[in-house]
Amino acid sequence: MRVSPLFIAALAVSQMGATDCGGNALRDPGFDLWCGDGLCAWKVERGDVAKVSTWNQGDPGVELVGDDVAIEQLSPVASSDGSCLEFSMIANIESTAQVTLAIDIFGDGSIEHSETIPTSNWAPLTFELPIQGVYGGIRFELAKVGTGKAVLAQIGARVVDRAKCDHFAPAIASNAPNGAPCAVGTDCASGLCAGDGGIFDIGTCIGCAGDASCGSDASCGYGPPESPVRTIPTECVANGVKELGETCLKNLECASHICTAAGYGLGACSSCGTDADCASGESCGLAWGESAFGVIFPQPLVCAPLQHLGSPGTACASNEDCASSVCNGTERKQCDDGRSCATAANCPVNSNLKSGACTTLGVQGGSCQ
Amino acid sequence: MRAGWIALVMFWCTVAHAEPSSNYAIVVGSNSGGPGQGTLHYAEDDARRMAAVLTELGGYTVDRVDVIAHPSPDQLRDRLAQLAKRVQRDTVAGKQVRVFFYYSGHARAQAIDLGSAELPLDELRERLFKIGASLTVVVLDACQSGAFSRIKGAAPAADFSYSSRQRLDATGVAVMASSSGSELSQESEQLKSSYFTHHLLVGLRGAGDANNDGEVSIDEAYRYAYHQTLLATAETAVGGQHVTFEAELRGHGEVPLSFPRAATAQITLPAQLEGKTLVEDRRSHTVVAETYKAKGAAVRIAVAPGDYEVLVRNGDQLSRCSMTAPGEIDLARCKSEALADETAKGGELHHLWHLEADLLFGNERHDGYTNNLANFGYAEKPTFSAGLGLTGLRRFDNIFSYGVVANLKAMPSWTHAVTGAAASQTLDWNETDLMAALRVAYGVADDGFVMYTQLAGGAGIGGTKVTSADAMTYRDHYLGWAYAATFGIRLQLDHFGIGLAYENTGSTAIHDLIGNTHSSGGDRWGFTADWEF
Repeated sequence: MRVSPLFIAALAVSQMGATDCGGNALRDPGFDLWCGDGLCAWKVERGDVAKVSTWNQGDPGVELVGDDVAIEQLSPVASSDGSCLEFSMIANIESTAQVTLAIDIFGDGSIEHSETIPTSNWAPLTFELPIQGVYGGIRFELAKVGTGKAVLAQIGARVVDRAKCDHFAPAIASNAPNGAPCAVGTDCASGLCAGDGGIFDIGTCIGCAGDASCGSDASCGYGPPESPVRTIPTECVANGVKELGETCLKNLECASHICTAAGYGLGACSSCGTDADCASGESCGLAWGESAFGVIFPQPLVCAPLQHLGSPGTACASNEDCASSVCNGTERKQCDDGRSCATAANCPVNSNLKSGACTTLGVQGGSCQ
Repeated sequence: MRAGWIALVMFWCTVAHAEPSSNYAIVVGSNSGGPGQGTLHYAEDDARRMAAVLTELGGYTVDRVDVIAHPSPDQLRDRLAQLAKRVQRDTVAGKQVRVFFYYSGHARAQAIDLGSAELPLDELRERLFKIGASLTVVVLDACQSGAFSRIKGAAPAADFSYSSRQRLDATGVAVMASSSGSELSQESEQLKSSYFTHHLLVGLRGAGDANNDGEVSIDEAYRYAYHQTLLATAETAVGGQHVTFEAELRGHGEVPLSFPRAATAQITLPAQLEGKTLVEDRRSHTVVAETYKAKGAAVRIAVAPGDYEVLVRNGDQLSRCSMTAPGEIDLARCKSEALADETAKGGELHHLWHLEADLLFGNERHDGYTNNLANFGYAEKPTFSAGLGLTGLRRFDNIFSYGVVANLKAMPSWTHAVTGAAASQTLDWNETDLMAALRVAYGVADDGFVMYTQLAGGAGIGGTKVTSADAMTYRDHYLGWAYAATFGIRLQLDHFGIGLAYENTGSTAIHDLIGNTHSSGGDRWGFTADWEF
């Protein structure tokens, strides 16, 4: 089944071709960036890591400490970057340790390919891996089991010419989750690919094709974002569950039944849509105004924003909306693309493979004290 | 073949004696040479010294000694023509005229070289003979420079003395040549003069007065110059230089060339003094006499009044005597000194020491160490590896030298950009080597070009500085072996020289933590500058 809402395509663009200009799919492939005792660009899944010297004490590598250790990094590399990955590795692994590189396409937890890194004494190792199908985002996991010592100095992953992968068995991208790129519906776990054949010849997996498929108590709107390498998923959302300030697609998603830009794209649940929704003399305006970089998008509309006029119990999106200067609610943190976030790790990476900012903008679901 | 200093033609015109006599001299010096000839150092100074002896001791008045430095052929022709007119006037007046002609400079087979132009020998002879003097003494000095001991007349000349004799037989001839036909004549850095002119002048100052009559005849001057020149040149790189003399004088007895007895000042070497004696003018620091004084008879050397330093070497004894001319050396007041190291070596090493600075560029060698850097994601900056070398050498002899070499090499940095961060890791490194060196050098032309090859070996200290992604720096130093093989060519202009050099260097000092060793260096080319003393 195909649907093609144009607004979804706009979100998909932000996830295309996200590797750095040199084609490297991984940030800090040399384990050179350390934040205290931990790696800045890699996440420790299990066990522990330590900073150790490699060819020179000024060029560190990472030692996987323990009998069961794993580190991972979610890369935005996508099929628009290429379909052949070349891995170059330098490591020093004792024979009593086994280190594997696992490939998790889409980062959804299913391992599509696993490669054992041979025991080596800093000897460079290179291998190619083709990826079949449309994909977006790969989680790379380096795991070690065994008592032996394993020090990793380099794990480069580059997109190279497809011809280099001709003779290798591919990792197959399938059952793409909502928000992942797709070409046809069968690429997606939901069987729905929106936007395929459009101007970018790429679509996005969605969970619903229209309100009718969601039943009477729900609508086809924006679900919670699941991965920074995927767009905000389109799926069935129960009516009226979203608070003031949350991201929405349709009015029905919001408890206030007001979603800015309803039906046109990404919006925010608001307490007013026009001045008529406000008390006499008050205007309906942008709750958070502008940042140093311009208008924040999306943001909710509230009555008399930032004027300290709100009486107790009045809906508010920031402390400045209330006469008491206290707006009770949940802190609203948002990525540059409008999705909610807890940390920068929840936000899509920029062209330098660095996570975008997760910025506190105001209050979600607030009411004046 | 006759080369070099071609000294002299002596020509007597057997004109009936008339009184009084009249003396004229033309003294010519020209340091510059023609195409392919190096610049001489002392030809013009020799001419001035000859003029001084002629006026002091030869009976020539200053106004009749025409000193000409580096003239053109036309200028010399003009001066000879002017002299001819004066001689003719004196001859008509009934005077017996004596002409002395001296030339020191370059010559080729059939001409003397006056800068880039030539004056044919045939023309010079003709012009001299046409002057019409009663007695004409001609001294020609043709020369070129060499690498160590400047060589006069390196382009072998025709047998000037012989051919001259044939041409002059009809009127009576006296021929004295500075060297035999197959020899080259030489300048001396130590004497700051040509060997022949120096010893001829010393002889004229009195050292050549064999019969002690207070006059130095042309025969005495020749014998003295012959022996002293041969002794002085026997150990040079070019070899012994034999002065020849042929004379045919009609109606005359001995011909005096100088009159030391009449000099206003003399230095008397006492009868008991024995050894090689060197007299130096303390004011000008020039050597005015160098002779071997035999024990048994006093020798008087005519000099200008003033203060002198006299060095006497007899075996391994060296005495220094200070005195004022006129006077006799008081041996009791002379001071004994240790022989300088150079004098024990003998020979004619112009410059014992050689200091050299090299600035060399090239690509740094790639090996396992740098391959590993590439594996770790580093890339070499596209710049040259630069080396600064300092070399100090002491000569064994004219070919071999030994000494020390210090090389400082700055290798191109290697950088590794950290993906996903505005940071990079950088390796900066350098190498300092201190080595013992042996050099073989040899002249490839007569214009001061020297080719050399040098091998050096010693210790190297390698330094690395790794700047990590968090801007921390890690410095290490390593010690290892080092070598350098150098080939070069340089143009040596007396003390100063410049050149081009190729060098292959290596040092096994720098290594990494995983067992790779870098041989610092590689092929380099560049420039050299040196100073010899």
